[in-house]
Amino acid sequence: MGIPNRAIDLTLYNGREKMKLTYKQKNVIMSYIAISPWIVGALIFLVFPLFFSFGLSFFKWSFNGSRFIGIENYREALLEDKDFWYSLGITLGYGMISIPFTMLFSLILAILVNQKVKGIGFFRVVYFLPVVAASDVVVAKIGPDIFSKMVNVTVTLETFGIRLESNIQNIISLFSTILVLGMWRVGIQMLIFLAGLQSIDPQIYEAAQIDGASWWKSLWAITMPLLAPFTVINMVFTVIESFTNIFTIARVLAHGRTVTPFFMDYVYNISFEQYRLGYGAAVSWIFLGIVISFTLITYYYSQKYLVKYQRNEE
Amino acid sequence: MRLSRYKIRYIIPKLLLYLLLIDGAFIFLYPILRSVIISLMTVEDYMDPSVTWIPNHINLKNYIDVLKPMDFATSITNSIKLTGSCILGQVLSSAIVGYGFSRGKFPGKEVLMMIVLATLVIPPQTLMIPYYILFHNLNWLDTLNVFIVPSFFGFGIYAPLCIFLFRQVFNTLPPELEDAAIIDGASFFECFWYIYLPLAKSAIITVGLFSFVWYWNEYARSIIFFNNIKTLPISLSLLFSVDPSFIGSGFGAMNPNVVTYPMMMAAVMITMIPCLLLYLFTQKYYLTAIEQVGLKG
Repeated sequence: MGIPNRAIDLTLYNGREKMKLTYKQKNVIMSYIAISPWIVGALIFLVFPLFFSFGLSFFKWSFNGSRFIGIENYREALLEDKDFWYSLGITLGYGMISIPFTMLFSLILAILVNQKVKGIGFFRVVYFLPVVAASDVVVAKIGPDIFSKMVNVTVTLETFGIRLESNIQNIISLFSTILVLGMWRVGIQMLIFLAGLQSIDPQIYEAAQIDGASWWKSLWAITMPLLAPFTVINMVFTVIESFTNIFTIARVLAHGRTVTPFFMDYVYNISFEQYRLGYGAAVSWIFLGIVISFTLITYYYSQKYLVKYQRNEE
Repeated sequence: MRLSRYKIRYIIPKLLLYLLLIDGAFIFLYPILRSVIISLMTVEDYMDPSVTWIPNHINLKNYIDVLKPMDFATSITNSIKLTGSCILGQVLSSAIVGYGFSRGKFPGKEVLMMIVLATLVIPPQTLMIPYYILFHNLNWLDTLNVFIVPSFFGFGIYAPLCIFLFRQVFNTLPPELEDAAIIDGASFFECFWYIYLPLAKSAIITVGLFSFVWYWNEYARSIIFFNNIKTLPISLSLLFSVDPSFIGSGFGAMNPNVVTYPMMMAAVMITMIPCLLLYLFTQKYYLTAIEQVGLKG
């Protein structure tokens, strides 16, 4: 900053004495005031709810009064509740499938819309359109009728002579529908990759071309390593998205009547239909732990990869 | 005419590229086009397998018929009130907090910013139960306060992203502007309000529009906090009152109207059109601002 320690006459009165604050001190006070809405909000809408729900998870809650039962809720969830493990497995399984698909598809789209040809702006607008235009509810409304004609995995499997049990078949068709609907809305991931692609210096490609590298070779040797930081952002974003935000689509697809096997629906059902709020809090804390560790693992490994890459560069 | 070898090598990949791009565009637009078409069909046309793209009769009546089962007047007022106040709250709070994180030099800045971003990872259902109890005790259930108040404190939908976006945009602006203003006697907040905020137009528009889309389409929280048909915003009204499969269960039971599939598509179009129009008019800002976030990410 240009004005270090410049004393400014500040009409801040402390009792009768006039205080003089340096520029730096004033800046510190003012910036705390600027972020104070967030701090107040964090106390009300973050710290309090987290502590409350953590506390609640040790209680058996009811409208007339709660009873402390220690870690009983956690014990029941982890050891006795089959639905818990089932929905957890389904949700994590879906994440495992959807994350690589989403990443790959959005990368391909980003490479496509990064080509320098006439009218590319139009295609960018169109590819991003579903993110804006189609809300979860809208997607789930128009999705099944329209997409099921395009992609129907179970029918495809049957034509190859593979017949599965009906509940596995249901899961596969639910997965494939949600996956296709998700693919339809990869706009944000596509834009992040696009920003990454545009940040790469074109001279590097020219140099590679002169050295005789093919397009495919320079994709792997130049584009992928240089995209790594953007891949990390996308990865974290997609992990969050696929674990938490599929709630709506899954639920609307099931017409709100049947309970879908996803974890969010399971928590919703326990908390707001059975009103077992204590148990719901315990279960959602377990899920919070899983999501956070997943994100941390993703972040940690990608960070390791980045550091290694930079070292190689030197 | 003979094409030189160079020309062939140049033109054929380009054609292939365009083919791919147009193919992609068709796939992305297909569901929307299809629902536009269906929304214009009569029931007979919809049932008729020979009609795929061009209906025999253009039937605009769907759009009028569906207004009553959607409870259009109430739900659109709710939606406008909700989105309007929340956009205001979201833009103001994330701009000022983002400015604090960008221009302030206070201890713990980086750590706090990390915490802001880390809150994105918390699954909403962990917070849902305490929110429900909190709002229940404040008597806020079934009022729009459940969305408006958090948005003014930087806890709206995806608020961490909005704060981050504003911080990034403020970071790209030259700090000399602030120095000059301070020498002229401007205070911290005057710098923010008169100098930096007007320059962060792309961020304001992006946050405003994304907030519009997010609040207009909100589902996961509304379904928990709104139990009264009078407070339903339009996207939920679309879900509950228009879907034939909801009739006879829950909210649907309140709605005796018969809704056909083309009418449902008309309802889908009605909820979608505001987002669509806003996006088309402002896509320039959307795309650049998101790229700006990515560049510094």
